[in-house]
Amino acid sequence: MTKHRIAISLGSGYVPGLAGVVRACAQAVEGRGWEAVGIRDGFDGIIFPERYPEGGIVPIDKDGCDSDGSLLGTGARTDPFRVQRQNPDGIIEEVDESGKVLATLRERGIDGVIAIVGGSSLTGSHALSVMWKLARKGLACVCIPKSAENDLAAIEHPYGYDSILSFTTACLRHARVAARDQGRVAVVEVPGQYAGWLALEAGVAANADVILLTEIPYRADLIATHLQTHPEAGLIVVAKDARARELQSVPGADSNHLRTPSGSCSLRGSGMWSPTVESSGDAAKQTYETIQRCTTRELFPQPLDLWVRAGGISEADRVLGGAYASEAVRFLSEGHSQHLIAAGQNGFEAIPLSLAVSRMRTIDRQSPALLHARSLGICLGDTE
Amino acid sequence: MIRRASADDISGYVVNLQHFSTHDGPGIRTTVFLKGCSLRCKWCCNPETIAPKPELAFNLKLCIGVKECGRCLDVCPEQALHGLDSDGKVRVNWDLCTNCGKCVDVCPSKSLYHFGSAMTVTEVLAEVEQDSGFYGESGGGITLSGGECLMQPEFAAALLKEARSRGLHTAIETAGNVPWKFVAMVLPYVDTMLHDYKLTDPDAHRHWTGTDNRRILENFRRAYVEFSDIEFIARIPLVPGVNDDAAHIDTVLDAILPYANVSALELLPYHRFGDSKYGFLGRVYALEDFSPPPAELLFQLRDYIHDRFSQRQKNWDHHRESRAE
Repeated sequence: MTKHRIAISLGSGYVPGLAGVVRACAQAVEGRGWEAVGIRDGFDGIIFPERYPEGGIVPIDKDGCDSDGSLLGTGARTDPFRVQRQNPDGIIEEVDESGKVLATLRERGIDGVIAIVGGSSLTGSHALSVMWKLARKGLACVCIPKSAENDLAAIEHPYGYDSILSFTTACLRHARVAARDQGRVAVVEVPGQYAGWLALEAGVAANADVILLTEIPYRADLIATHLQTHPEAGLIVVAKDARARELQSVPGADSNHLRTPSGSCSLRGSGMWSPTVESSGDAAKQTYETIQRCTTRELFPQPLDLWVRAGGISEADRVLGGAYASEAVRFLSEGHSQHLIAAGQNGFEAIPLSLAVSRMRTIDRQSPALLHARSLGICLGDTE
Repeated sequence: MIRRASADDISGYVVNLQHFSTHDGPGIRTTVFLKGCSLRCKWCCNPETIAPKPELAFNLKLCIGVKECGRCLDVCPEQALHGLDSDGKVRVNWDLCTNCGKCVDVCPSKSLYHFGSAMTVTEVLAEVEQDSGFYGESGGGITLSGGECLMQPEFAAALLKEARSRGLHTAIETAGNVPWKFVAMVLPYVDTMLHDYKLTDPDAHRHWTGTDNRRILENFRRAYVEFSDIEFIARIPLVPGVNDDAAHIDTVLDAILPYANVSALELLPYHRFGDSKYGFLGRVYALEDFSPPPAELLFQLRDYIHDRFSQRQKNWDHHRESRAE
């Protein structure tokens, strides 16, 4: 039997318990009599070996605990196809070093790569795209999905999402309790640039009064009415890219002042439709400003942002991580290279990377999760 | 009628021509933004000028929608475009895009477009000369900016040479991170050179811009000496927490004040006007939590700079008087 050498790589974006998946992958590889190694920080360990005195490709420490982070690092920002270098004239330029990556893998006797990718609100599915491009150049690879926002196409159960959902729910529940106790309404922003799954599911689980999704433009007047008629309401959950339908449709939108029980304050900042790169917390702030104009309930904005990744790993993710690792090695051994593994109701399947890149899984208006939220009386800021 | 350039009518990559510029040299000017930059400053407000060739940009607001149009999805050979179910509009996977431009050709709403296009010297000057009525009275003219305009030295030199032959005042804005031969190729056709001192510490310069500043400082020093008939205006892009300390201002002043042809040190307060362009290019803005410097700080620093220049003038006057006696 050929003894293969398999490298494990992580895309950017931390989710809880990555060390466990990396270790599980290593165990599954070695369980077949093969050898496992890890590449530091995506492919940075190969592209910038000088940054890693202990080596950019390292053995995997299989004895550790959850607090070990990801073992290999999720700080990668480097696209092997666009590496920033200085040319002999001292000019900085972007250079394609994918060939160097593949050559190094070959030199080090690495036959295939298991990449754990997806899951960064900053870089989206960047690592998945990189893996597809490398695969097209001949790299044998299998990808395990991880995600904080659950927006990867064709994947309903990415690794890490359950942990993040649990922790986000806990945070939202605390925010709701505290806000209600003060007679205020917390406007809490959670990640969700392309899809509002985390806002929807964590919001429902935390008994949110209003959930504003990326997929459904909201009407501030409807939310204001909901708050006025539900004096016990204390929590609005906002997905990062949620937007008001039309600023003009909001009563009082022409006013530059916000209404609060304690008086009014002036509105700062740019127009809500200005096409700017948004900072963390912008959605919470803009939603707060939009809704506060038309209600006397006292609102306050609060971004969760990266904090949603700060919790521990859930038991479901522990089980899922081990299963993904095992299946990745199985698919690799069966020659299913250039695939993304998806956990579904009927077990695991291998999806060609070409079908997984450049697609997002968003919430359909007929999605059961959305219908459940409506049936629970949660305001989604629309008229259905 | 368009006047043909007398010199070789070569072409270069131009991002934009900005009319009625009042901050890019003396008077009212037309600023020509060239493609390509040799630095990667984290606060860059012109990210569309960084790449040396035209590159794809996408304005979501202008997209008609996949059902209504969708032509771009059909022609993209890289699978870099896809529709988002929630709003029915197109999204770009920037990691897969190769800037082939096929989507730009078929996009009817111009939501997909290119930042930058090839223009000849004649074409650029035809547009620049439309504003010539403003130049004479105000002392304005043409300014080459970027990006780094010295990244296209042949084009920049040909453009400025021809502009000068037509009686236009010429200026460039440069960060100076190019080989000296590029500088020497262009400066013979320049009346005013606006140049940046971003950071004085080499390591900090490398951290914030991608390379250290040794060559930049040497280029500036050499330009002051070898092109004494040019007016030099030094500038500092003032970024809070990065280079807004008195030590940096002092170091820059110490470097420029000995040279009589350096007439001013200007402060360019950090701003966020370029944010939207990062979105159009699918890039992440590295300094998203930074804010412009407070006005009070700017007043203080400008007063200080003014005092140092006044002191220089007094010293020179005193020196002249002493010699006359």
